[in-house]
Amino acid sequence: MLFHKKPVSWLTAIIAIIAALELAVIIVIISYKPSDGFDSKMVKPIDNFAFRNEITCMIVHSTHQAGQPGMIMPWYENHTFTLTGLDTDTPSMIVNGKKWTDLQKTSVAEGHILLQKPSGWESDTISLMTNNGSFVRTITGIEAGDWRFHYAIAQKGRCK
Amino acid sequence: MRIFSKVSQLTLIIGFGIIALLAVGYIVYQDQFGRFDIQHVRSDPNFTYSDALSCHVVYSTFHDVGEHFLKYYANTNLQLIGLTTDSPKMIVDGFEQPLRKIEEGTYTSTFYTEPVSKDVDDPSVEMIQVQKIDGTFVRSFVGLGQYFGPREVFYPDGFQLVIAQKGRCE
Repeated sequence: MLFHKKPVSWLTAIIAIIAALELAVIIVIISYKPSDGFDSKMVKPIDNFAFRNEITCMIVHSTHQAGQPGMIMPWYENHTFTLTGLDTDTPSMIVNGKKWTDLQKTSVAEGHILLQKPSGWESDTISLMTNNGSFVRTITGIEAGDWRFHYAIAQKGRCK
Repeated sequence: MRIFSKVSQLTLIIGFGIIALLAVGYIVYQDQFGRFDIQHVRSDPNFTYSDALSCHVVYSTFHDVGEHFLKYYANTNLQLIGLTTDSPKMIVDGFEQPLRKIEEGTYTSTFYTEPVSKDVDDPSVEMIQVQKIDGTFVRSFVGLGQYFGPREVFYPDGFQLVIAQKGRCE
């Protein structure tokens, strides 16, 4: 007989299930590395990016995720924002069709500009590659309504 | 013999079960509490804000010491001096970084770094914000791939780096 049917004890069945779960857990643990996090995530730049006076930017990776318990910051959960007046020293950032903040162009280099919120209780800084549209951004501040929580957000994305 | 066998099997099941639970618990813990976004630095109720502070990075999004040569950010200790003056400085591994105060409020002081020298093309910038009532701070960095002499920061040309950190001063 090719398939000989043997009775399987419940103990053997449980051990087999636990062993399978163990194997799955071990694989997950081995494959987990801190470098799989935000730090190593890259944004593919746009080849035909054309730097203009007004560009729309999309956040691709962010250390801030919507729905975190105790963190209510919907304004940093928007995935897009617009930068206007980039041909001036004081561009603006538009979020949801409304002006979010003035920015200051603090550094201009070949293929790169640095934009910073000039003052205030929180900092907002965008480092934009004008040759391919990729950007990185950080925001630091204190959560409104709970001055004890200090937040720091890092984001990566691209503009078009 | 049969009883011993059953006892052995039960011991194995319980042992495997405990290990499985610990492993799953570790992963859930990392997922829920190991995320930088919600990591919260314990505050010091006895903290007193002063002109000079010694600070320690507790949480950082930066881990890739091996991939990119970023010795500057591998340092977890920094000093802030001249905080009550017009020319504050941040000292990391002996390197003095001039700071510009952008806001001083009741609860926080916020600073941007200034270029080290007018002769150095440095399109990178750091931000640091100290909570004056409990000594916690947040710090962030955006920069481009190049070499900054004193900072010993180097990574591939065109590579954009962004780091966020949280810590405590005393």
